[in-house]
Amino acid sequence: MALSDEIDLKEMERRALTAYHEDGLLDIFWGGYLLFLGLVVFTPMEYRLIVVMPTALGILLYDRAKKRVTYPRLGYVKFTKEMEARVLRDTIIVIFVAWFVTLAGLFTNMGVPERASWLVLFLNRYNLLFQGGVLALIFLMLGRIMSISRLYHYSVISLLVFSAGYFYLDSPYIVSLQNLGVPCAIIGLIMVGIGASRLQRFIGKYSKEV
Amino acid sequence: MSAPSNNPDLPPVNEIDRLIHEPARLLIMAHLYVVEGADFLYLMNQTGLTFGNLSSHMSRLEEAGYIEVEKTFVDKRPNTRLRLTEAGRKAFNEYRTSMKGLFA
Repeated sequence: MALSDEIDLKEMERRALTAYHEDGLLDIFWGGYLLFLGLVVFTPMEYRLIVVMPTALGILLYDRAKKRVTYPRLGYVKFTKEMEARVLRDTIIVIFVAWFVTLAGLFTNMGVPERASWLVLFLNRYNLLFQGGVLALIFLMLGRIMSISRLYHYSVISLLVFSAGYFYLDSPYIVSLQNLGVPCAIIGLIMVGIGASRLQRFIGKYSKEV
Repeated sequence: MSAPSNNPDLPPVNEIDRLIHEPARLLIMAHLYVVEGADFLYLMNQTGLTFGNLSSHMSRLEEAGYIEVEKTFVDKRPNTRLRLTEAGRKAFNEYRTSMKGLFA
């Protein structure tokens, strides 16, 4: 590699981030969470609040998994405070906007008034596609923020799965949580599968430090 | 080989920090420049250097005061963490500037 390439610092920073997420743990945990969200909507209403639990538990487990799997093999890296702050800030903005847009989309299904605006009618009509678009956008933005290119693939997968849901589910126009749950669970399952395969490759590539 | 020219129009090649200019050390410095700190294993994986090679270059950079080496224990196992010092960061910036000047 040419000297000028070696001191391309932006590229090195990107590579450091990519290497840190090479283990597939992020896919397993995010996918697991989506799978859980997808399945929890089929439980009775009173049990749905447990959806909050795996968020905290997931962060804790992810941290432990990183310490047990990644650091002994890839080594430990501490990113600069500016970089961590930038990633955190951008991620919070993306998630906040995504939640806002998702909720706005869901509210359009809680009864559409006769003289509703074209936008409300449009969202009501194509709600499942809209939710898929939001999830795709989240993956797209996070992929860019975290420099993980495979999140772009998840973005495309989300669009495809939600589109399939729109065409194949019994009543795609009346979006119930169950209708949202099926595509979420499918995407989650795909992510967990890809993550597990990446993890297996990662463990094969980097032997544990003796 | 001829001696470096005294022509004032040419960039000052002699001012380039030879300690950093060595490819392996340049790699180590560049990797440490973009993060706050990293351990020995991470640098070995990222730079592709062997244990002995990285260890000797690490010592040279530490002697020059460019990096700080901290030996700790993580889960009862020895762990060597490295970070660029202020002097190291400054030296690396100056190196980049002089290299850019050389090829400008």
